[in-house]
Amino acid sequence: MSFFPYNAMYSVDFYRNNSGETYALKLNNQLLHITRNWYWKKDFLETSLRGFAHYIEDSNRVFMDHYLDYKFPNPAIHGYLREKLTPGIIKRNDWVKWYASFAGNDKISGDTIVLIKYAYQISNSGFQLTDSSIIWKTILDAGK
Amino acid sequence: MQENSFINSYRYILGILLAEIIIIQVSGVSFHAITGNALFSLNVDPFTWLPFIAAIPKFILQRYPVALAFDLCMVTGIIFLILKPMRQLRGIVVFLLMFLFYVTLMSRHIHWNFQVGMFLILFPLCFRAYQAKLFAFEALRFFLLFFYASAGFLKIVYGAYLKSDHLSHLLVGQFGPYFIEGNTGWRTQLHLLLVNTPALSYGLFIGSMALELFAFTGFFTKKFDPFIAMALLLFHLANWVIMDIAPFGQIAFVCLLFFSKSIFNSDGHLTATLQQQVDLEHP
Repeated sequence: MSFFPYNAMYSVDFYRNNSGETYALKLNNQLLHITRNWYWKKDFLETSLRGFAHYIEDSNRVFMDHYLDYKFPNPAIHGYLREKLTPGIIKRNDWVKWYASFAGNDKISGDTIVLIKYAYQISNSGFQLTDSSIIWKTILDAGK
Repeated sequence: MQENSFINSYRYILGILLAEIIIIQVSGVSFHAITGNALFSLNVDPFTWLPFIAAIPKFILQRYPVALAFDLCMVTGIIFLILKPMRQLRGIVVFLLMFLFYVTLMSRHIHWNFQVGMFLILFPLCFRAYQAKLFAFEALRFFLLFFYASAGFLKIVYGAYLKSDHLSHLLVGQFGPYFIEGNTGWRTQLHLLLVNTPALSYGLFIGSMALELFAFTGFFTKKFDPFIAMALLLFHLANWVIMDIAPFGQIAFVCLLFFSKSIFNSDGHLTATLQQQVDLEHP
């Protein structure tokens, strides 16, 4: 909350195990590197990609879609707030073009972009990938 | 208006804020850098909805020159405010610009913690009367103390301090992209050590809770304010190294505790110079 000093960050362990998930984008089968950027840009690239992946996994919805459904049942208010406070259906190709460009990669029509979700665990043996799945795939073309 | 410790203190605070904003912008994150990014996600805080209801972020991020102008205005606004910190109009304008920057950035960043100080720090400068500015500074100081003390307190309420592997589990999600990219080094080695050695990470977790809870002493005396500031900066530094959460955007806010003693005595009253200033304004 911006104007209320309540900070429950990291008070609750939601995962209760040593498993994690992360997302990455591949451009023409090459991983788009983000971690060598300076902190803020790296963090922005990491979290905004996670937000995009959640948006896709949740069928073009963000947290606020669910919150408004629950909090504002009145159709008029709900419709107004939804129009203002949610992104609606965005052009996914435009978003990944922006993302690739923001990450410092030029992209051209015909490029293949794949959004991948990686599952991993950390043990005494170190970092181990346990699974990876394609969340979304697209081929950029001049028309999109 | 006569130079005094409040003005000088705010010059230092604004100087730190300016450095933070420049660091953020130079790293590549600014209004103009995120133009064209149409995806955003808000949280439940209605204050952050206001610019979106007015469609201001959308207006800025659809126009590169406008976004660039806002970036420049933000930096020059802070510089002008450093020159004349008591100008109310400048204070309000820069406060609103920083609030807009915070809300727009966080809506795309989708991670709202630990940057709220970048606009809150300007709150006292939005008032005209000198006494109102001082009251607002005092309110902001308590806000800061509540913000950090509540973080420590809620870790007790939720029983996190009883779980020896709490921090080990939380850490797992923090360095995933580094391993995926093969960008490993001493920090990822430290990360693996802490995840696999819960006793060590538990010790650090309890230490970080102690640093946060130290803010409670500020409710009773201003005597320890500089030490609370140092404790919180140490907490943020550890967060940066261990959890990869840097404090840029929050440092100026924490540093206000370094200056509260130049404004208020340890018993909570205004310093003699400032009391004279207020008496002149309200005889």
